[in-house]
Amino acid sequence: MTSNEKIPIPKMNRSRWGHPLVFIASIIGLAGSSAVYYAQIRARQKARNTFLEQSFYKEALELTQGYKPITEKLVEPIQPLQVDTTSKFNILSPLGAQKMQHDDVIWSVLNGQFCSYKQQKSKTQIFCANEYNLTGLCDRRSCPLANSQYATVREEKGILYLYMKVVERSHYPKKQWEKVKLHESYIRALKQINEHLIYWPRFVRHKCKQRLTKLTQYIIRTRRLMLKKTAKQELVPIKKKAERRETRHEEKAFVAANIDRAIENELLDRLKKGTYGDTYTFPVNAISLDEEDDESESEDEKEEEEEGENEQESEEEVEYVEDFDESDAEDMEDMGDDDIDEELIKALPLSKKRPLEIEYESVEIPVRGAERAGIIYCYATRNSPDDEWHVDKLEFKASNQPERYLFYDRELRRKSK
Amino acid sequence: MVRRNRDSDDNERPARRKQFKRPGNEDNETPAPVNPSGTLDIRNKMIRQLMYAKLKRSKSKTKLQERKARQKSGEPKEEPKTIEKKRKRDETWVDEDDQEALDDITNDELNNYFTRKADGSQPKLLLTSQEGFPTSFTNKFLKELARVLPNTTYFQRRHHPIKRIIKKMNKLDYTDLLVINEDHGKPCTLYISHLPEGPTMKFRLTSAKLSKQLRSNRGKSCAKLTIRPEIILNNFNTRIGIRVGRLLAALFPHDPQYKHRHVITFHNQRDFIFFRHHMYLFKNDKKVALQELGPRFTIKLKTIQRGTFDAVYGEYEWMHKPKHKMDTERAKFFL
Repeated sequence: MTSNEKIPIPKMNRSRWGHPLVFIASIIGLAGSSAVYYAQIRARQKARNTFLEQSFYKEALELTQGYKPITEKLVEPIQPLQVDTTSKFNILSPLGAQKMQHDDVIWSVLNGQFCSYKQQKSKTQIFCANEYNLTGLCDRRSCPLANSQYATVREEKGILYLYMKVVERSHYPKKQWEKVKLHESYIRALKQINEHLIYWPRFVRHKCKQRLTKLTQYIIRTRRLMLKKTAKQELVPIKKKAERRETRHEEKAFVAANIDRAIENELLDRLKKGTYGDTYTFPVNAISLDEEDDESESEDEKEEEEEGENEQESEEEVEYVEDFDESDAEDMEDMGDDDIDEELIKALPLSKKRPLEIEYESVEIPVRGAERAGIIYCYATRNSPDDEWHVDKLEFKASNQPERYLFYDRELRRKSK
Repeated sequence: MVRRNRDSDDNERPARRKQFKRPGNEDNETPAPVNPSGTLDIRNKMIRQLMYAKLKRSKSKTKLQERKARQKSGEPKEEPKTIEKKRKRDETWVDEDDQEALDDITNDELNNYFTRKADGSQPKLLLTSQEGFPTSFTNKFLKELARVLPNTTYFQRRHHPIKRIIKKMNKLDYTDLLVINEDHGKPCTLYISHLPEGPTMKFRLTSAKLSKQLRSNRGKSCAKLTIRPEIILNNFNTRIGIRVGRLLAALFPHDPQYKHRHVITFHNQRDFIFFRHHMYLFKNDKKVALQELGPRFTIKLKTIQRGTFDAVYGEYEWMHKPKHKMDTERAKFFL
């Protein structure tokens, strides 16, 4: 097989799958950039280059060249004699002759009338669904039924086998196909095929080798896929009905839950039990409005003003809320239903939205970005009068709301300020 | 010219002239011929419609009368039937003094946290996404969660297998691992794995909303929570429920700071656990005002696995198997 002369390596056409390593490289190229990946790519390219220089690779190239005689010494096998007998079903005539005729008969029937393996899904190509078919096409040469001497390469659980069928065994359907396990190494498998199919027609031999190549590539790919994470991930189908049901159940559960009320009840329970200790005191008649009370007023997310009602442990102070915001009014529950409220607020001007103007002592807390943003108000707490203020939340609210829309144009606004 | 047969049975045909029927005179009229199936037998569409409207009105009238009579008579009102009330008392339902449940709890993996032992009591969470890069919404969601759950770090998962992450976490004294998987751009699964050989729970995550999207927050995103919030766990009734509840509670540090008035709620309703983050304010001793901050999402338990994350060889304590018809009964819940 290996000649002594140096045969120049013919330029290999880049087959679609190429060398397996190229395949890997292309996958890696898609996987995103990171140094590790590039290093791996480089390593693999290097490995590929060294592989290409190996001698056995050259051998494989030679072996896979199609339609080339295996050795120069061997003589081409003679085509079997085509004996022309008058009667097609002459059993007594030599097997060779009978073989061809028998095949012809079968082929004429299958091609012309009906073959159950014939698949014509497209207009241009007819396929053969027979598992032993070498090329997959419905052809005179490829039909395993219409050729009494036939060979295929098939794969079973990752192992490749060469199947051969000869005329001599045509009467034993059970023993018809001879199964030979091919070597794991690709090149040795090629050699095996050459040995077994040595005097066989060139077409069958060539196609078997082609099929072997394809199948080995397929096996390599499946192995690589199996090792990948994506193969380990189980794809679970989404069941539409179940999904729909779940979302509906969730909606209903949400409605039934009434979460806000549940949370409120829970918090009130905790208050009653006393988990909060002395943090909250709710005086029944909190009418007295001393200056001290003013100062120790509580902070409020909703900017609600109920003086003296929420006296929290001395040191929480709020800054600002001169105007009521409509949105805040929505958040809050009914305000001012209690008698206490009305008493307190009697003195102050009442309008529908209750703009209560209360003067606070203003504390300036340094906030980052305050100059740029203009006037900022914030909610702040501190643990004791000596402590630092801890800013909880910033409110970007101008002191006089209407001015915001006076100047839509930024330039004018800047000039006015 | 049309000949009119005066002898024919005119009575069968409906009257030619439509009499304007006042709604008050219904008692005098003959009732419309009603089929046993409830439909009217009149073939003329306009009249049929009129008759049907009349029928409906009379029905609602009788209903109203009955209702008034009921209200007047002073019978005790029936309680509205809800699914929660129809729920069958499971064997797994835990009462207050269930000794078995208490024993179970004391020998739990989460016991270290609840008895405030030195190694277990301060939770340290690690939050990751699934393999690959999370999409924009999930990314934002993860970062928000990292801000809301105290002592969390958002760790970018770049194809690191979970078991390797867990190994490293054990060395660095993390207590919990949270993994959020996504599907179609939205987060869909949440794994919570309590680290020192704790249980792993898989939840199905739905309706995730960022704090920006909440209307009560006025379009502002949530700030980082530097304080220890209060926790509310509602409706964890069964044994499984207790287990889940404890795992969720173990994500948060002890000793909440009441002054800052943050509360995080896990509310279980019909096996759906709703996560909410609020700031509250007591207006008086009967009213609380809540403002919702922070993200919100719903989770539903899918599997409980003993030990840290091991999908293949792990021992599953409980799995939700729709194939085996765990969903067939409307009033059957597991948590």
